[in-house]
Amino acid sequence: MSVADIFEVEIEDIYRYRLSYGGQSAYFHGLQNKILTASRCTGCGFVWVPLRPICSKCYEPAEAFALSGKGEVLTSVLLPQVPQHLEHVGMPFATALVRPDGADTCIKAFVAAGPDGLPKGTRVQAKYLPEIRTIADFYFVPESLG
Amino acid sequence: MKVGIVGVGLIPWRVRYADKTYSELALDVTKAALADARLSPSDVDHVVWGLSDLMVAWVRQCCPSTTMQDYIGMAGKSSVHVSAGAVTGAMSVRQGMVEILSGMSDVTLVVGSGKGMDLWDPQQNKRSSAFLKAIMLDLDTNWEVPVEPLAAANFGFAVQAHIDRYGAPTEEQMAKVSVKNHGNALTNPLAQSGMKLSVDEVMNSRRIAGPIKMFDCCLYSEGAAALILASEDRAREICDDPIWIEGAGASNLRSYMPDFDQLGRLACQQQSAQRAYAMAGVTDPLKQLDFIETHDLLSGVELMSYAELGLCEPGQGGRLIDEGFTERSGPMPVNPSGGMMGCGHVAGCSGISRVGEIVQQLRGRAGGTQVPINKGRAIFSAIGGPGISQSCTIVLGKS
Repeated sequence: MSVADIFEVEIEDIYRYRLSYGGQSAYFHGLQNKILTASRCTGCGFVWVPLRPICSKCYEPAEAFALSGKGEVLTSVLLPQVPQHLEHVGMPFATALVRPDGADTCIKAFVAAGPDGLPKGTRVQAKYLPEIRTIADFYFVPESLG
Repeated sequence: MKVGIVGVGLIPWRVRYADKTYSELALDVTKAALADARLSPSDVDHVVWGLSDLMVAWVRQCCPSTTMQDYIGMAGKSSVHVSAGAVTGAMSVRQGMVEILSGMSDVTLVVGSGKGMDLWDPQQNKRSSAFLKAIMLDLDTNWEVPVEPLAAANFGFAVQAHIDRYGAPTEEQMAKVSVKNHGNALTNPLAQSGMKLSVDEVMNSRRIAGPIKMFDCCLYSEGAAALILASEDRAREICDDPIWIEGAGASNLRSYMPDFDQLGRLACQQQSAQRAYAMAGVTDPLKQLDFIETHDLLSGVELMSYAELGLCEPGQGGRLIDEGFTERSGPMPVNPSGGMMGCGHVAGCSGISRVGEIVQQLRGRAGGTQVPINKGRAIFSAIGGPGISQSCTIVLGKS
């Protein structure tokens, strides 16, 4: 079959969402109020971030509580381009696994990198954008630069 | 009872098959697999479809297996659709094995096709950017995608965490994997991107994220693959040289928030390999396997897999590539086909294709990619999914 024989058309499908975060909505309400929120299982004591209303390990209820917003970088990948909505910060950025203080889990987040990059173990502090829509709307900066 | 593979249908990997729909690609490989087994469609009891859930974005089709079943001449037979990200193909083979071991079928067709380059990005006047955006849907859309601008960054996490934990591999060692796999693909007529690369060329290719550069990444392709699986008695009737599925293991771990002790490891792959090895009676892979095909999503991921598959201790993968241990001419060839970097990859059928390549190797029909077969056994190990949290390993053997 030659290229000329191929019948090709341009089609556009657009889906829009009013997305519910369901039982994890409290996490985003917390971010909107500049608070990183966890949940502690009433059965086994495991601390979930992002919060889960029911513990996935023992199925007991987990109660929400506020964290300090501080944490530690477990590993990171420096990005070749700063995400557009974070350009105002004026620093290079990585996407990183961060263990919030007090959590038994880690989260993925944007983290501003210092002059030496973003080594494992870097202490970081959460910062929040005025409008929270997704987890990209809060980020961490090294405590030393914060 | 054992399950044998008696037919293989493979077609070349391409960037795009503009002249074929995904159903036509599936038909081509189904016909080829049936011809290889000297069977007709009426001999097939059941169809396992290995189709990525990304088909929704790629070709605007949510239940592709139901529309494709008739097109490949299998209307009226039972079928099941398996979807597990990049692990789809391996899980489809495992499901085909389960179908036969359950006694529900004697002959099962395992078939998949993948077609993502119909996507179009009018802003950039390109297909690739639209495709790369779509594959992000394989990650967790609430807890990963917003903070991971690139799929390579998702897999780059695992590599960087491995470097943080073990101090290796170096970027040069990762580059050697790319050189090896692109080089292996040069003699594979099915390969999309056989190239004679130098370490410097890989090192100087465009940096994607962290330690990852363009030539460290696997390809995105269009393609299809099919296998005919049969029960032990039926397999012996069909051909003289069935290749047996000796073991299959799978694992699915926590994805976007990995356990701390698993950082820098591919724990799901270790689990899937151990389960497959246990089923097959493999206690020392270095002594019992002829070669390995594994998912080289990134060059660093292949090096991490060496430990998870039992070739070395964690952190020692770079040493193996330095020593030439996994070259096609080495003691344990890894990805002699060219892998996903040199040969091709699309979530869905690439795992079926890799198993097909192994069958051809064990039969001694692999042509330019043939490796010496002394032990009569090889494995395929697939990894993928959000956070590289899912794996399936298949052990294949001649006896």
